[in-house]
Amino acid sequence: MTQASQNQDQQPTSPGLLDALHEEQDLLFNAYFEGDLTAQEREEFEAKLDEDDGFRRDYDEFVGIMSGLRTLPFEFAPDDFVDKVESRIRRRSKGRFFAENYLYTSRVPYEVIALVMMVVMAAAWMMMEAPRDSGLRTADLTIDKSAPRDGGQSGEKATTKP
Amino acid sequence: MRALRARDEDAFRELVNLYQHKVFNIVFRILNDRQEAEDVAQEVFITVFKHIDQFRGDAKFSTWLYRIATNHARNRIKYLSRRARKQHQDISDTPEGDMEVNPLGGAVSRPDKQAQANQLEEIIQEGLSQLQSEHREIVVLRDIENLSYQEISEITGLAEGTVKSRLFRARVALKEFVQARYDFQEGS
Repeated sequence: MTQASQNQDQQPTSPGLLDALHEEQDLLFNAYFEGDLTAQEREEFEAKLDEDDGFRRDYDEFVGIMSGLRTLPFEFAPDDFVDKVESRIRRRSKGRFFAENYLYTSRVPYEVIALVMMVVMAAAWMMMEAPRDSGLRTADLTIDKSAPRDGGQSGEKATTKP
Repeated sequence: MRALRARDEDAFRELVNLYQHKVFNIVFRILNDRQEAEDVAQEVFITVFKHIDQFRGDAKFSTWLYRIATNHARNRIKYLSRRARKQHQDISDTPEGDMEVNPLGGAVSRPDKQAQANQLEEIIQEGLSQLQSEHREIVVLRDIENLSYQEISEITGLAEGTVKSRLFRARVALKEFVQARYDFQEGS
């Protein structure tokens, strides 16, 4: 309880009037603090600050609280905050959120590996099968030259090697 | 911003690095609880990442970010308030008898701890946590973060006149709270 409010309490004022006086004083404090008063209002306010000790004390308390608010210590996020945010994103998106970057910069994509494997397997299969194929093709085209060239009238036909 | 939209991981890390403390401080001052503040601040950045495409650039990025932060903090207060009410109904005897659960989710410090710390600072923080949430966020944005009325108006979506009148009401309530608990004559 400040001097000014004690003085006001001693005066024969109704509670409603007292509240109105308090509110008016708070409005003035707030407006002065915010720089919302006109030049003339500011001069009057400052004159009252000089003359009225209770008014000055009340205003100093108001400023003290405002300063206290502005000087509350800055609260820093924890050191691992960035990592926690990132891991939460990965968990929620099941690793898809940063997928493009992650796949193409840090490791070979699975699709590429699969494609390469398919090509390798196809090549291996072709290499293993190739001799037998060419052998068959050669056999098909081989004609027994000892056979007479009579257009097949002698009854002998082209034969294949075994 | 292009890198963020392309979901560039390094850009995201840089963004979080740049704003983490600011966002954490705002959320902490609104919630008055470190654990809740950390959780909410993480959610803020996840929301930013999810909706980065919706940021049109017609406002400052920080304004957009603080709007998300205050919205998340407001929602958490509502959630904690609902939970506290439910717990109050369900349990009459809490095991932590020496901790006063306030309806805003924060906890009032014990007297011995309070005595060790700066008394006025503690009372102000306590008073801040007792303000209505819509008043508290405006005090935090104006008196702690030192933002302009226009920025606060953009963040909260309120008219500047409403911001000013809420700020006035909040300051008066805070002043009364502090004056009732702190003797400026002895303290100074």
